[in-house]
Amino acid sequence: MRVQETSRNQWLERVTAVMCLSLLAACASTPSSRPSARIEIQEDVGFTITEQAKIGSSVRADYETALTLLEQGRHNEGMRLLEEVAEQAPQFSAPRIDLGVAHHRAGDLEAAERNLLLALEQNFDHPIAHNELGIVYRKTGRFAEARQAYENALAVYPGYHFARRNLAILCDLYLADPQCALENYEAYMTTVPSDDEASMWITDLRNRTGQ
Amino acid sequence: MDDYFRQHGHRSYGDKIYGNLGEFYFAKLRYDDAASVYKSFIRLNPNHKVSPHFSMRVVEIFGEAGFPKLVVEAKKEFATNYALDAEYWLHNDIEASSEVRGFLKTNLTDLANHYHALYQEEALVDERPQMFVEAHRWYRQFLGSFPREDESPQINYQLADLLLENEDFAAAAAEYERTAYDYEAHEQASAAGYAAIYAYREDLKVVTGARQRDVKQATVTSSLRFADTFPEHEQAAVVLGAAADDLYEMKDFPGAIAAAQTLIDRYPAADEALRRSAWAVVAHSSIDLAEYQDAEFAYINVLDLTAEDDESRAAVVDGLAAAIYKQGEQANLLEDYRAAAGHFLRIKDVAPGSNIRSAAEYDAASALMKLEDWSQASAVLEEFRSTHVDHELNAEATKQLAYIYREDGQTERAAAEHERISAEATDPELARAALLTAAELYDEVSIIGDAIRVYQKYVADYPQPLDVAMETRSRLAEIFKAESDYDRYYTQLNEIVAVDRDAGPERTDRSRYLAAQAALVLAEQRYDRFLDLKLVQPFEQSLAEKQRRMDDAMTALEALVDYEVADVTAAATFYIAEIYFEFSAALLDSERPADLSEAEKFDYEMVIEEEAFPFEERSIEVHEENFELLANGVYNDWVQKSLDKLALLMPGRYAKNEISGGYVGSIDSYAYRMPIAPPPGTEGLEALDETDGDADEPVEAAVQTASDVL
Repeated sequence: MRVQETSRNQWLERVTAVMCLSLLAACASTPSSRPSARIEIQEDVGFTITEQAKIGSSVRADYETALTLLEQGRHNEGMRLLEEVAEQAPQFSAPRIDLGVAHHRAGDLEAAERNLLLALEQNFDHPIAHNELGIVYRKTGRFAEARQAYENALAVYPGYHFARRNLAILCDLYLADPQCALENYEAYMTTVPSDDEASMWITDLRNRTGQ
Repeated sequence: MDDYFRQHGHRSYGDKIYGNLGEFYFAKLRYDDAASVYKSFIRLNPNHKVSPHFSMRVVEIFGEAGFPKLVVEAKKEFATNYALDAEYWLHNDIEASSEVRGFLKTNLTDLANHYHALYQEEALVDERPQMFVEAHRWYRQFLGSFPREDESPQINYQLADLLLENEDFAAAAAEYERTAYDYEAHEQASAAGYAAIYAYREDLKVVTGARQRDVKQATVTSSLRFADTFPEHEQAAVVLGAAADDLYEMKDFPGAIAAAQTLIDRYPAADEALRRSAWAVVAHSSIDLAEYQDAEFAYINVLDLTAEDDESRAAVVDGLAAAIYKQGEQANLLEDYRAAAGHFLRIKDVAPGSNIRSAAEYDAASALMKLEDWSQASAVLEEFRSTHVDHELNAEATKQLAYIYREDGQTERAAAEHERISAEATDPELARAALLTAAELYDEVSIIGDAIRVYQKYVADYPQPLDVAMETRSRLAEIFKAESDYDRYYTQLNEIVAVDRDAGPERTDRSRYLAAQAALVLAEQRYDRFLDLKLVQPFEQSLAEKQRRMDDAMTALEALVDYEVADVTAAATFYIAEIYFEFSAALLDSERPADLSEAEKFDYEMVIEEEAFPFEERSIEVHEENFELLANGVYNDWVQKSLDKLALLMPGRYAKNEISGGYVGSIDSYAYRMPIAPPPGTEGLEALDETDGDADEPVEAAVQTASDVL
């Protein structure tokens, strides 16, 4: 339990200050290619990422339509429209991330990776992109890269439970690193205490490791 | 008398006294005394105005007396004493002495002619050098004293003749030129000009060393001067033609062209051979000056003036072709490939019999290829190949055609050309590579029949290099599989395995890998045969067959490990695990005996389960062994399949799937809320709400849950 508490203390400490990371374009020669991205973190609640750039109402509407199509299972139509949005609003990371997720779900890992990397070029501090990329890397056998991707997501927000759980599974099954697995499962449980399945995995892991 | 005048001094009548005495002796036929009297006066009065007359009188007296030698001596004495540069003329007015000048001119002419005649005398051959010196002296003296007299050109001409006869060709040429060009127009001028050229050419025959070029240059200069000065001379055209030839020989190509062109323009009616030769000079010189268009024109004229049966005609045709070919080369250098191809192809029409024609056609195709004009390039090469059947570039043409058809998207024709390359190649390596390319091209455009035919020929003809042959066999196997031609598919796989097995030291990592893949498919075939058999009644018989097939599959799968190919080892391990699992399942799903009592049924089920369970356990162990390959850095589809199977067999341990964050949901914002976070509104999340792009979308709507499992 000490490990768990330490982990909690690292990021559950009540911090009232709101961190604002202004992610203006790193490359001065292409200032217009990236939006002004801002992340607001509240340690015990969550975080919000905002990307500011001019965008037409029709593009915004197309984006929402594309997501609706994807949610309805109309993947080809949704991805086609989303690709158009990504081309019309290249400064935003969201269309590329969503294309990455969509291609991932469609089984096209190569396209998924390509889009996620494009998204990270626009906003490297987007945990969704890192987490999704981590899964893609794992499925293609690049375990070290997968670990780095999850850790990138957690560096932005340690309580991001998706990446925490995925990192634990990676360590458990693919990296044969039970200590890493146990630490991350336990950290995960602090954010999703109702996950009985994960709780069982922790028990099994402790048994196997003699803890 | 001499003493008297010496003692009493000069008397104005003295000359008359000497004259009267001289004529007295002359009348008495005392010639010598008469001459002595005159000579005495001259001796005492060398500058007296009558002295030259007395001197001439001496000549006359000896002449009357018939003393030719004395006449000559007297004339020489006169010519010496009264030459225009003699002291006498310092005391007398030369302009007032026309008679004396006339005597001098006559004497000099006579002396020169006299000695020139003696020089030519065959009987005096031994004295010829002396005669030459005398003749030369008096000619020179005449010309020195009377350079502009009417007789001067003639005397000069004679002097030149004397020099020529004495084989002093250079001096002769110079005097002939002087005769021809340094006087007012006279009748012998053109003859002298022509003679000058003759003298130069005679000199050329004997001159040696560095002077040869000087003399030749002088010959040419004199010839051109002659032709310009005496264009109407009957030999002018010939002289001009010879000069053009000499200039070409001297590599003065612009000069050669100018001379030859002058001949061509000025003497259109000149002898045909002469004009042909002039055109040839223009043609050859233009080639040397890289003026190929002019050369082509000149060669055409040469050809027009060359008889059909002239043995030099072929060489002229070759020259014409070369002139055109060079224009093609120039266009190539300027990257004007269209023009280059045009020139190269013209040769076929203009000089069809030329040696260079075939190479030109080939080069035309090359230029067209640079333009990517595949259609015309291929047409040219096809014609080349059919026209020049035995040409050494034929094989290259075939290669080019193969390339063209490939670039032009005519893959089937490209494949056919490669087959031809292979068939015609003398280089075994070229033949091998071309045959393989042919097969690949047929394959590329799915002309399956030909692809199979050529691939099969390849593996039959070229078992080495082993790797290539193995790759080819693998491709053949793929084709057979795609064609659902399973007999040939499995036959080919067996051959792959056999070839690798029998390769001995030739065996490579690649051949081993391909053989392993083939062996895996063959083992899968046995696995499928094992899988297909259901356990039915009578049970023992069915079980025996199932076990036999199991052993057969196991043997094949276990043999795969020997290949030491990670993927194949993982696949074999997966299938072995699956055999255990499937055997267990087959036992559980086996047909039960029909006539069992309830108690017997219960016992039977217990036995079946007891028999099946160890196989399932063994299956899990083997799958876990496979999964443990991860620790050795091996991860592939087979390892993942084992993990997937373990997730089914031991879900608590292995059914662990990653979760995705899902779609972002908003184009410009994303809000994440931890599952354990208090509901919105129960604590401050104002900042989150304010920064959300979709202000009316609740924050929690964007929060993903762990249920979105991939």
